[in-house]
Amino acid sequence: MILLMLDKHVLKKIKSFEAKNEAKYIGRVLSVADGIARISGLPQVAYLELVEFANGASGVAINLEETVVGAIVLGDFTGIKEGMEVKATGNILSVPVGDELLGRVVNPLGEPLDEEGSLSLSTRFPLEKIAPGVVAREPVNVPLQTGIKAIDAMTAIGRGQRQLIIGDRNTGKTTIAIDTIINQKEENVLCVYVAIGQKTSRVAQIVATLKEHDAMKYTTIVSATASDPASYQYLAPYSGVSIAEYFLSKGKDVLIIYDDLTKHAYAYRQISLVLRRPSGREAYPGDVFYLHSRLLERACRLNKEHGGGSITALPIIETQANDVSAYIPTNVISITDGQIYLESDLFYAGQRPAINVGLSVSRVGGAAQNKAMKKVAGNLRLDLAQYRSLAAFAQFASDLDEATKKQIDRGARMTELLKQGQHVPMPVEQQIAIIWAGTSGHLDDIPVAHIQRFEREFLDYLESQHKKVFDALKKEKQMTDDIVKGLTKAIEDFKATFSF
Amino acid sequence: MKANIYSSVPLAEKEKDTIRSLIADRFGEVSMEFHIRKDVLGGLRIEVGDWVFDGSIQGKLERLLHTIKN
Repeated sequence: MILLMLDKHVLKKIKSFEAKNEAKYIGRVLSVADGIARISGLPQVAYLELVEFANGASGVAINLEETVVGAIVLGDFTGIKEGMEVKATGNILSVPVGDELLGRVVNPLGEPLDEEGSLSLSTRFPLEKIAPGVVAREPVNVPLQTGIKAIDAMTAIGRGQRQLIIGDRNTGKTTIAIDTIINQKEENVLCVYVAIGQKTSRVAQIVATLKEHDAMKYTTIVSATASDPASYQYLAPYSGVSIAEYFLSKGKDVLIIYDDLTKHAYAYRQISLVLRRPSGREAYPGDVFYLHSRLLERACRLNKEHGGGSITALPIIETQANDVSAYIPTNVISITDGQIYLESDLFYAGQRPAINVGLSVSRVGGAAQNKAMKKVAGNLRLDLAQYRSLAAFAQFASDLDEATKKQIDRGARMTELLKQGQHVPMPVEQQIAIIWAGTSGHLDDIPVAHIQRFEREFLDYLESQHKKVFDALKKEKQMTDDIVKGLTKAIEDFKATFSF
Repeated sequence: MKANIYSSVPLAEKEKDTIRSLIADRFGEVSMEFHIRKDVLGGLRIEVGDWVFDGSIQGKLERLLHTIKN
């Protein structure tokens, strides 16, 4: 009777089973503590090989010593007992990959965490992989549009770049990352968001936000939250980049976000200390630099012969009291191709996104930037940095010379112009039009308080009355004379109707 | 090193000799101990240090269960 109730799937498994004798080397658990099992025996186990405990739990061998193997337990380690049998599986740690992962939330082992059913993926990619070499790569030359004015104008990001988002807690780091994902809807970029050590409620909120903006269908979320064991948090970014590498192997452009690598370093520190590896500065182990460098090195821009895809990485680092010279922040700053530095003072002063223009740089994105944007915003970063120092100085001096006063007025307007709401990314042609208006001096006679309204209404006006200019900008990607003429005429006509 | 041999029923002396010589061939001089364990159900299980030969019914059933579960 019971047999009748079994489904075909199970019957097939039973039929395929061969009752063979088995001879193998086994190990025994010596001790298990804080997610780490020390195992005796297993003489032939390889580094990063999956081992299986007798109760069905699995682990990864990461410490191979003369007589003892240290393994991180994947998942629940409460059922593991001293003396329990352990066997090596011969498989290196890998994650199932496939197009089905888009729109899904998975854990670092690729098991679904959402309610959309199980995944049936047959391809597996290893978690640890050497990054593509020099021969396979080409320079970053295509922009990745974030849809955020301040970033696209001043610290442009290219596809294949690694751009760090750094700042204190509550300065809008994740918001920048999420806005960037939302903006990829029309850009043909697939996204992977890796949540490391975050609150589960926050991850749920991010999923809801992405769903609301129709961005989940091209996004995979790899989640290892604060309640997951340190092993999951440690593996999550590698698992995320393996999924990204699958899309890369299909020639796609991929954006991956690691939110955040500070907690990743915490998880690795915990594992290392429990394994009794010698600790160094801030109790991190000696290879904490390699931990992040080998991960971020897997971001790449491949040339045509190797598929031509790219992986753009946006790692996030949380600082304490704006201290960018702490251990992990300096490490990651030196690995990445630039950083977006967010400050809480700016954030609470209402400057959102709270980007510190002076300290933010992009070392390679400039080459990939839209030519028209480069033309209109070329000097913006330096001008704004100068404005900041002048404005601070001008608080004490009452009479200023004409040139300084002009620079402060311009700076105040540009600062106002770069403010942008949450989850409202702006297409690049609109950004160019409005930044052009600012840098070419057309906004100098508009009061600062009306700048944002002017921006909104002017862009609406352009959209409805001068669509051709936008279309030309989209097509040409250059500031041609015709476009400048068109924009000048449009802004003059519009200013005649704009009242304040 | 020590060899433990598990079976569900007592083995005949002749069988024991065969096992002894096979283990000695593979591992050299090791002390051997024969155990009777009901839950082996049938067949043999031999443990020599880290090396395990599992030809028991218990092991086969466990592996079948594992196949079905995964």
